[in-house]
Amino acid sequence: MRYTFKIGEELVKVAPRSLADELILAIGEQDCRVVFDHGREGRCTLTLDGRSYESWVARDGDDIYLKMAGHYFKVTAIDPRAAAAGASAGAGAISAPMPGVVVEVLVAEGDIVVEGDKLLTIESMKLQSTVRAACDGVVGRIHVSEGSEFNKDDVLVEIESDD
Amino acid sequence: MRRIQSRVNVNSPEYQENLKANEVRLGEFHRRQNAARHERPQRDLDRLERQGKMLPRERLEMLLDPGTPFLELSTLAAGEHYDGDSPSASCITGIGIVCGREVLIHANDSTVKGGAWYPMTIKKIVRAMDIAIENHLPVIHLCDSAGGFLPLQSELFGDKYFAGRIFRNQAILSKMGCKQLSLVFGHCTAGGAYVPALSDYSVIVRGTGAVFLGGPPLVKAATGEEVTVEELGGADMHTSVSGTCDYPADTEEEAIAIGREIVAQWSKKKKWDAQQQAPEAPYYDPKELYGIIPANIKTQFDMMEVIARVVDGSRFHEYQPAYGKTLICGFAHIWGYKVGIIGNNGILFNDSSKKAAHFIQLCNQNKTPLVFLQNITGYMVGREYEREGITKDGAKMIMVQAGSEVPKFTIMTNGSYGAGNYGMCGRAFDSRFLFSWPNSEISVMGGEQAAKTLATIKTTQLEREGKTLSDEERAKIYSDVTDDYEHQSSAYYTSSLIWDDGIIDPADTRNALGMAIATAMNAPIEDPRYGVLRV
Repeated sequence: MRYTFKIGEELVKVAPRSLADELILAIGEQDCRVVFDHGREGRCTLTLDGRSYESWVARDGDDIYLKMAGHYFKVTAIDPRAAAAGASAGAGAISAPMPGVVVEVLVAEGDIVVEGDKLLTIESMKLQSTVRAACDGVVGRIHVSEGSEFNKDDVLVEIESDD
Repeated sequence: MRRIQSRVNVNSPEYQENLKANEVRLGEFHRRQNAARHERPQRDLDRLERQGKMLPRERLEMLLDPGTPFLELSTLAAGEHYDGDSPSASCITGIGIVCGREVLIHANDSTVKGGAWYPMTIKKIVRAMDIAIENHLPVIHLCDSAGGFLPLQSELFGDKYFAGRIFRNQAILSKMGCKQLSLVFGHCTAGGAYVPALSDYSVIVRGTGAVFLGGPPLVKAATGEEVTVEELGGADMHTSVSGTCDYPADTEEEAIAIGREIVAQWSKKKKWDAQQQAPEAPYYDPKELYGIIPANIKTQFDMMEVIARVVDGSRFHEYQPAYGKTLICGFAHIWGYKVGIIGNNGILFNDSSKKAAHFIQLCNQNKTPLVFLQNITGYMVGREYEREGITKDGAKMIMVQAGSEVPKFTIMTNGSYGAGNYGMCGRAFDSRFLFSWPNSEISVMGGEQAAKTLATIKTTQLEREGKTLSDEERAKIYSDVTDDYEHQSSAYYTSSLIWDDGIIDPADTRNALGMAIATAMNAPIEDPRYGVLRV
């Protein structure tokens, strides 16, 4: 198991393994021996390669704040899954997920939209759903109008990226 | 497990519109619930006081461990039937804690027609005892009933799931080793007499409690014998002469105290060793569900937002996040219990049906209980989908889901129409518990389509009889049919028929599921086995 932390602006990869009461952290080529004693109210003692430091730790969501030897650090654990979740679908044509009918067109060609804005309301199989912009951009051609029927994979509306 | 990233904007006009609609719905729900629980004609309350009897809910409060939750079932049963004459179907059922043991409670409500059993009363009691059988629970009966409601006897006596089933279920429970205690506060006449007689333990109150096959008037009519209630089936006769009951008590309070002491003697059964961790409150406020559940039942909403407000820490491990996306599958924890969740995010297609079947198999192999969040208008129709085998893919989902051995729990969150109801573990598919939200609807097809079809049939019929219909008459037929159909699809109507185990406040979903899962862990989980799949 290897973790990536963001400390300040720097990305640090750390591979921990435990040995008796100590934690051995492999940071790059170096091994660092750590003993961590929890105190009260965020106070703790960190022993790094035999040298002890009085430290304070506080957590705020996914961020950890550490005060040690007169220095402050903000440490964020990087979740490798988070990068994937942030990726959006991008610009281009939005096509119909299934056959249906257009209930309402909520934008006009040339409108500026941001990701998540509503473009159309469609109805299929008794269920109304909203077609939303997958990215920030400008509304290009709208291929449908109120009441028009469409088939699966028909292009409904196009979004041009504003990049 | 990663936290779900909610996209709900509490300041958006949709959220506010939904909130407004759901506040009205909740107000109505709480009004109905309160009326079913507490509102009774004064003369009935006076009669109980004269008899020195406690109200059924007072008895319950004395019996249950202080500060413990009570999962009440089907509070609004019979609410839309018998002109409202049988609130809560004249009885209270639910799961509570007595002396640290999970027990099923069945309490007659003698504030309503002397606790007489309406057909729905029997359906509710039979369902409660089925719950005891499925989950291996002991049962405490709080007896105070005049017996079957005679004017409706043809609807409650003689069929497989009618009154006889109560006693059959008692015998089955005993055979399974599930203990039963009866506290006899009032009369147990005819069939009702078997409730204490089939229990392992019974306590009977002097003066008000009585157990007999036929009461004094019936005995006089049958044999001419004149006999008093006390001589025929009173506490002292039964506890010192016949041995039909076990403990006499001078007051209801004493009877309850003896009852609690009896329960304290029962061995505590070891529960199923479920995968568990320390519970964590959801990160997103469950009350935000009021702004997510749509004002209009036809509007689509993201089931992921619901999951985020039900599961521990709003954390969810999604299975196949990119495949069959109209169905969400994944693992989470509810009150610390590991569960598999299956929630609708649109229509069921070929891929989503196959994904469901696969995920249900994974959960069965892992012995992970399943939670179904229903909002389903059905399986996709049309040439392309039939050619792809939508019917046989739906059949796979139903086959595996029905053959599932893990405990299943179903929540009706919005719409539930047609075959989608089956695939998503509707009432016929043996969920251990099924709860409905007040906004939810169930029907064989969507309201509008059904109303159109029915109205067309009706107008055609009238025209065939030679009547000419004006446009207004046509419109009236259509609106009458729609109103009827909507009423009969509503959660209040289906809950009145006991198609569920009760309507719950959406914000209570997590708590209801937590208790339901804890209850289900009283029974072991068998190894999976399925029927033949059309692959």
